[in-house]
Amino acid sequence: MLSVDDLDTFQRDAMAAIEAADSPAALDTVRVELLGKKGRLTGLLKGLGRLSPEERPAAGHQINAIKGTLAAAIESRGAGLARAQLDARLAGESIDVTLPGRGQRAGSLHPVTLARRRIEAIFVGAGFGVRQGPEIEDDFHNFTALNIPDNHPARAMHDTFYFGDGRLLRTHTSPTQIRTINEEGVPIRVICPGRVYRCDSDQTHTPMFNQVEGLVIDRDISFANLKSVLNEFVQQFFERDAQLRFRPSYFPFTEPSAEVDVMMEDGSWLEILGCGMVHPNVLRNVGVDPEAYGGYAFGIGIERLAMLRYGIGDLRTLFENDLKFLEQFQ
Amino acid sequence: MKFSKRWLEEMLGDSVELALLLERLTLAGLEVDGTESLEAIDKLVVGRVITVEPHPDADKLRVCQVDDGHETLQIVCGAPNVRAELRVAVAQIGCKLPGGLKIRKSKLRGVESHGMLCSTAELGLGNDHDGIMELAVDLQPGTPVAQVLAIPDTVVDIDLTPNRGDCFSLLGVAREVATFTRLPFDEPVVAACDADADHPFRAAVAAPEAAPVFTSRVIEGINPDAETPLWMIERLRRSGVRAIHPVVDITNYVMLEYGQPLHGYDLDKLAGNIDVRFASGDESLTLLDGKSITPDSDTLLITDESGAIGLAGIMGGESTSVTDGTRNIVFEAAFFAPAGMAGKARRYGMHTDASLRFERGVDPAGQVRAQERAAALLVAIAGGRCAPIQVVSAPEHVPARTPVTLRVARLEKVLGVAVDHTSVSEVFARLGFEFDVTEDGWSVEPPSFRFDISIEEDLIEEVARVYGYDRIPTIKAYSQTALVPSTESRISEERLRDAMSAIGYSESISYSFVDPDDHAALGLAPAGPELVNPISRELSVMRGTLLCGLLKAAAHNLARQRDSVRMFEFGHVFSDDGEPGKFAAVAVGRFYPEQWGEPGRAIDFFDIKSDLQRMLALSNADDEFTYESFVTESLHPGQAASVLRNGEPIGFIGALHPSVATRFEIDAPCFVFEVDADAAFSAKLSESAPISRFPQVRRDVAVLVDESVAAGDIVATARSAGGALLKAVRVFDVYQGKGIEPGLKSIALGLILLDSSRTLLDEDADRVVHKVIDSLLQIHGAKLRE
Repeated sequence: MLSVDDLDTFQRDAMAAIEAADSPAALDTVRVELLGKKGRLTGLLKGLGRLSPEERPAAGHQINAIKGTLAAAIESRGAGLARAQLDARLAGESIDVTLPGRGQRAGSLHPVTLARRRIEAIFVGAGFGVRQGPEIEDDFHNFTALNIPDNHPARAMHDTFYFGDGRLLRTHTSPTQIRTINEEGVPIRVICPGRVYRCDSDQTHTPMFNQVEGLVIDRDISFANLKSVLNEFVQQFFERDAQLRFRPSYFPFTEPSAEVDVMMEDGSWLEILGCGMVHPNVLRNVGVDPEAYGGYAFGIGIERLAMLRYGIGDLRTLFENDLKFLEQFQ
Repeated sequence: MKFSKRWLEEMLGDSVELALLLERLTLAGLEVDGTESLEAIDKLVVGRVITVEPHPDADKLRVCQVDDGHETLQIVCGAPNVRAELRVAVAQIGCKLPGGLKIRKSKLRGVESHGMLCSTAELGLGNDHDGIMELAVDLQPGTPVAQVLAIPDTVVDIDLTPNRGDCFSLLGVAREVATFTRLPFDEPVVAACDADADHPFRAAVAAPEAAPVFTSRVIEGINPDAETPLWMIERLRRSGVRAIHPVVDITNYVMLEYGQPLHGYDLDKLAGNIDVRFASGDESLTLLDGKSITPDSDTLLITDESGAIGLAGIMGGESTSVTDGTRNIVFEAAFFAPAGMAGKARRYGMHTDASLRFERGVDPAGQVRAQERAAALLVAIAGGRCAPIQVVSAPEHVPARTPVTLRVARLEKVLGVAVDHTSVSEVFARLGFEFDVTEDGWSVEPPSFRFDISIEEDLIEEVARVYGYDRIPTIKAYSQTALVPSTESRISEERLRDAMSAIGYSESISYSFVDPDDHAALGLAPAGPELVNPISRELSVMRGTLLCGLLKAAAHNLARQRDSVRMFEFGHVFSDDGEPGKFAAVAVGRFYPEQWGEPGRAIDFFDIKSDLQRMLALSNADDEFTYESFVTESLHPGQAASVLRNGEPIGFIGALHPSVATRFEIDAPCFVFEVDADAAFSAKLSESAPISRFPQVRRDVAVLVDESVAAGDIVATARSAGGALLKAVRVFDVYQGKGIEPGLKSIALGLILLDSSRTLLDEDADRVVHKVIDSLLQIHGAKLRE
């Protein structure tokens, strides 16, 4: 006979069996035993027929309720078991996360490249084009066109490497500016980065180094504009409020000419670039009327700026290609 | 140029604080290279040697009694030149010498010594250790030596720009300092000497265009035993000039003082009169430094009736030089035209103080003053009687002083600031320029020594310089500019640099000139042009390949405990046809850096090939690149390939031949590539195609081919046979060995098939696979591997 007490007992036992299942397989066995086609709950349902018609609905109702409760308990227990099983597996998969990652190490970019990119980015942002030119030059483009005629004492400032045919290794990137004006005309606003060469080798000179020269020619360009652009450039390059000093100097291709010093943290001045207003003879040499057009030019030694920016003490280390040195630069 | 601050102050007629002096020199554009201070020395006085006795116990020491103006000191001295009545520098007890030596009472071999008699070296004034310094005999004992030597003093070294030849003298520097400190300054006036001697010597100038002013003066009867006074020796020394002979010292002194080089001839060695003319081209000349030369015919000479006796403006000849016995001399002071002087000193390898000044230009109005100054000094030091100065001049060849115009409008336009007119006039006045105010500016006549002023810009620069660069404001320029072009038809070098760095390569920058022997030994490309004047043979030819430098860099690092090196460089190589850009890399050593969980293995060909392929892939034209076996002496005969783009060679990749590697001191398999940057990195624009919604099918095929058949050819055959449905061919296995007949190899291909318009049917795939297999059989004699 099916009584309410029996059903309560059944439910209590069933719940205990579900809780006792300690693996998904054991739980499934319990589930089949309880809720399967031949399970005990089915048996209980079959037993309903033996009840009186009056008792039948209530008992049926109770059995269905038990079925729902058991199904939910099985599902919940199942999820719990799956989770525990996953947790156990993951616990076994622990690794030492402090071990280094595997694979290739990172390479590095040359500090001259890093400094050149900064310089280029700053000027390109201000509307300057970037132009390149040959490193083996002729006398005309390297000297004569720049108001340095034969035997000019300024030639002694440029210890020049020569080839047998009279050509030479450019001593500055200014010849590229001459070529650019010849090709593109004025107004113009360019920088010319590249390798340059001087026949000089000691602690503070390497026979090859890198320059960025800038040139602006337009109808209304003044020394005050030059001061402004270089001032901004230096602030941006060093990302600090650097004080500049413009000192009178001499370059055959500019007049007035200046050398520019930047104040170091200890209050001393350090020369970082040369500049000036383009000499009228240079303008005439490229067919530009100096009465109508004027401009400024500047020359920046990339190595010098790289050394200052990245705290490099010895110029010569830049061209030794020692990986211990190079790998410091990203 | 080095000069004594005290000498400058004498010229200025005023003293200037050192810091101010240095600052003003800098702001004037006379860059200060450095300073050297000469400190005063206490307890160092003039002494008179009273007696000199031998030391009882030492042959080389003498016991001297010395009057120091206060008492008589017994001093033991080892100098060979010590003698009675000599005036000497006595370092008294307690004196501290510049070298740090402190004088104490001492005993030398049992004899007490109460001080030290000093050599110039001990006083920090030179290198003469041979004997004690001999001071002028008329000096009062007890006089501080600091006073005699004019110390303390500071030697200032300035770096002169080529345009400021006028500053190559104390006079020129004094003018600038006066201008920039607003001190009053009067040009020095030199009184004329009595010129009562008469001598038939005459000078003529056959080349007036090269020597527009030539002055000479005979001075007879000088005392051959006269010595250069200490004050002059010291001033010369502080200017970096060594004292030699009173006549020579005076010419140097006047040159330093007024900027006018002079030369002194021994009159008795001259054969007749002097003529200034160009060289014949076949006469030789022995110069003061003993060097013999045969000057070219464009070189100006000083000659007498015997021939050449000097290179005009550069160096005098040996035959007529003044020597210890010289009694009669001729002083020469000339203005040689800078155009004729230019380049000559360099040509003959003789850069002298005189040539430097003449090249840059001396004051064409300064010769007579220099003659008078030199004569006055010589007569004071060595006596003698002066003949009149003879001046040969060709005014038509002397640079004309033409007024230069400065327009207000131009000044303002160039500087970008309105400078008030009174300030400009004041600048000219301070510079000693004569000027008139005109309707639109100024008409300026610079003095004869400012020959660098010839165009309006020169005046603008002078105004800016004196007005002060720091007073010119900063003003932003707003000009119309075009946008900077940007291209996708070429992979930027910066992107490649970043990509190489990201996969473990370090960027190197090596010299563009290399050792011709290394370059030839490498043999990968002909070297470029050769320098005429290299730094050294190791840096004498232009590189024809970047690998010369990269291999040197690799060897450098391998020698420094690196177990792997990966480096790349972007740069130009050189040939007679031009200077193409190249991109090259070297990889040697471990593939992975030492790490846990990865067995160590060495870099091989396919590692570096993969790196190159990844770079080339940025061109978006992967299928244009192919590789062909490449046999060349410098590379491994079986591990080298040409890199081709659309069938054209653009570079190479491979293992370095062991014999070449050894030559570069690399003892591990070393892999390199180099490609032409323009050819390799021109890029196709990325273009989007519709993505197929249908699944792809993969079919694997393994074939046996002769081991000499290149996988690249197999893949190419498969691709062309496969047609449009074959999207990709992957080589997933290459095998030789057990189970494969010797001489053959098995290559396994994965064929990726896809139809973008429908789901591919099995029979479609089968058809493609059969076509591929048929082609492989026909073209490469392949056998299907079961």
